[in-house]
Amino acid sequence: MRTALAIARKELAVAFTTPWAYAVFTAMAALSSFFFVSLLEQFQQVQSLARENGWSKLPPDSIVYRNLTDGVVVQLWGVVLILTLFVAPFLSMRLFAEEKRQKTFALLLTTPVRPLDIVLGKYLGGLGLIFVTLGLTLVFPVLLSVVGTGPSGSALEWPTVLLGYGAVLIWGATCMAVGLFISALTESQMLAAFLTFTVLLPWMLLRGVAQSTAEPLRSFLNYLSFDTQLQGMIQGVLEVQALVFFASVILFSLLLTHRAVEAQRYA
Amino acid sequence: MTMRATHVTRVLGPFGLLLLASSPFTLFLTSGSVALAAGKAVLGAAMLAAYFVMHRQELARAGTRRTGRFLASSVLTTLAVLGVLVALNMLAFRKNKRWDLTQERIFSLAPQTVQTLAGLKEKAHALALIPPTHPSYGELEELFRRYHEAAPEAFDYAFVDPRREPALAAKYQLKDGQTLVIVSRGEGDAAPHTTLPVPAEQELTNALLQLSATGAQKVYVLEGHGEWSLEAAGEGLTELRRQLLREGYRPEPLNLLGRKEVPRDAGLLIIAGAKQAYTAPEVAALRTYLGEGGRLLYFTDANTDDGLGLFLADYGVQVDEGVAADPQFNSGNPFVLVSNFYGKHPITRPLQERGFNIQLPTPRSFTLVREGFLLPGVTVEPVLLSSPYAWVESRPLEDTTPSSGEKMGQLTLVAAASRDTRAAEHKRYDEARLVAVGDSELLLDPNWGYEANRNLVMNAMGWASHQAEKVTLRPPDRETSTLELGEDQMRTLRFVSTDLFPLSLLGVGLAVWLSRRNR
Repeated sequence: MRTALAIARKELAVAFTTPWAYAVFTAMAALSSFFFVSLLEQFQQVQSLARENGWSKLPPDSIVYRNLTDGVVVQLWGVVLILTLFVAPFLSMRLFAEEKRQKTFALLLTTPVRPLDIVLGKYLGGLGLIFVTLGLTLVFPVLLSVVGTGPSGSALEWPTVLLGYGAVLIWGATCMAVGLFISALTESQMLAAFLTFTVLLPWMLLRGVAQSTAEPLRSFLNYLSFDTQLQGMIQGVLEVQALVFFASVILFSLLLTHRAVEAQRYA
Repeated sequence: MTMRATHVTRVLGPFGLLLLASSPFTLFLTSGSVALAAGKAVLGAAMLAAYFVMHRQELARAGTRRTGRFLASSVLTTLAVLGVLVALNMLAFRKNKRWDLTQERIFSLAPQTVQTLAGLKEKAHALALIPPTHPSYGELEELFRRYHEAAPEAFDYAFVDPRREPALAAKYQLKDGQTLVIVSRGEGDAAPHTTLPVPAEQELTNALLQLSATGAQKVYVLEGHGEWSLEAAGEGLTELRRQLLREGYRPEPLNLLGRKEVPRDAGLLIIAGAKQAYTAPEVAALRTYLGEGGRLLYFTDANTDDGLGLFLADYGVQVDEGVAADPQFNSGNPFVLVSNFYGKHPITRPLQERGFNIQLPTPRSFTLVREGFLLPGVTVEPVLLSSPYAWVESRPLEDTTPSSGEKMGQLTLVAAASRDTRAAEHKRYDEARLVAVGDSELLLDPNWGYEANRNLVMNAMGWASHQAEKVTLRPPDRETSTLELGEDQMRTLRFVSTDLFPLSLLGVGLAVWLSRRNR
């Protein structure tokens, strides 16, 4: 494990001393802040309409704007989940593909380091990166809690906000695990990023496919859909099945990565 | 030539695997065609088999080499881990635990629902006849799941696409696009059940309460004045009796003659088309019964006099003399009214949602009185109305057009009244309920097959007989929070979020890049 941590440290050190990571951070911050401000303006508009005419006169779906957590933060987390789908492949693509391109991967394999340590080290490094990227978005609820008010004091329901943020982190960790495996298969970073996105996007949208199928396939597809598993969490409901599901995807991806790394020895 | 053949056969293996592995997608997701999926699977298997046959020596050699062993161990490990993970996920799905961390517990069942589920003596089963593409499907599934998770032993559910099960859809007379939820108590076809349109928590919990309560509900059908009989075959109420038994009521005939009061175990009283007048002591008994919070379903017909006019007027219902007629909303005869004009009443909400038309042959209409003679605390509402073109024909045998002096306009064909009886002596229930229907023939066996009318009667019965157990659940919602930002505050917030924040990150990145370049 110590070796794995050393590899992770090295990964993070490389990332934080190269400008590309900051480019990703900036892109994430710029995009999420753009959506945050739009959601905030929308929230303010609906609230001011409700003050003038009453909530009963507004369309039924305006009900989410009664509360800052529902109207802004829950929706912001929904947006961040989608943004992660685009950002994570850029962060994961380097992990193995870059080493392979620079021919340092063969060197790594000849060192007395177990493939398991390599995989865990790379994954923990990637996890650190994605967590920092997603951590930036916590700025927005903090800003809201400073300016908003609620009858019970806090403007935000922090348990819901933090659980939603937890969902965002779990999603980031899952994307990195899948990206790590795909990165271990190729030496082209662009191909790794593209393939990761190609795998994650339909998986995320599986719920849409499930809508038109009958039971029991519907329940099966719904269960497999990232979107279904994340929805409850971002709204404030923690479920054991979601945790087991994401842990399984992460574990299985790491196992496949391990086998892919091990296979390099026999190539 | 041999070389080329080997190249071709090398491709066969991966292609075969690809075809075989993707055949479930063809079946379930892309085309849905069994023939296509089977074709792909068979072709894939054949290609794989050909690959193994052509390369058997090579594969055998590989099996003895390190790579072969690695491959085999990798496949085995992967499959074993996958198996464990699948098993774990199945367990998590079946025995899922959830924690609602929202402040107002907006994604949890109301305490009344949990209490109802805990009090169920027999297993309840919900069957939803709803197509998977219906917009409410997901919500309903989530609702059922919560009920099942709260009481796995007491509540079960299933979904059926009515388009795939036309026999079941026909049994419940569902038209294309219509949905229905059948909640039953116990197992089997004969289990007492109730039907609902797509329900929210309140309706579903009330349906469970209703099913639990009906086991003890005695329904008395009055006799002695020419009412339709529960037992007589043909022109009787045997179908109604069967339906009552199926829904868990216990129907019995009752003659009030010589009795001072309606039996205390009466859950509901039905007057089904009396043709002779009730005696004064009988009317008094009925008056006392409703005064104590009784429940009465009153069905009458045109051209009859049952002597109950003054008693009904106490509850705001005046029976019009003559026959209701409608020149536009009829089934070819102005005295056979067809109506989809519903009042805003719980009895009619499910009928409206399923788009039913009620058909009443030669009905009598009512005038609702909200002031004057009626008893204190009475509220009366229309449940079913005629079209605005209707009138009360006083001489139906001679005339089929409105004449002067005849009441015209939208007529009330079914009315519901209630009265607060919490303060009553010998109280039966907190509220008396009365439903008056202007036609009793809809109860008869030959007419009982008409789904819309049957629903009207059974809904009226449900409304009248279960008020004591009904629960009202608060609509779940988060606490309101406000945000009033001035123009300046919003400008600052916009600047900090969209400008300062990303730019600082970009600045740090730039600094890192420049310092590395200059090193």
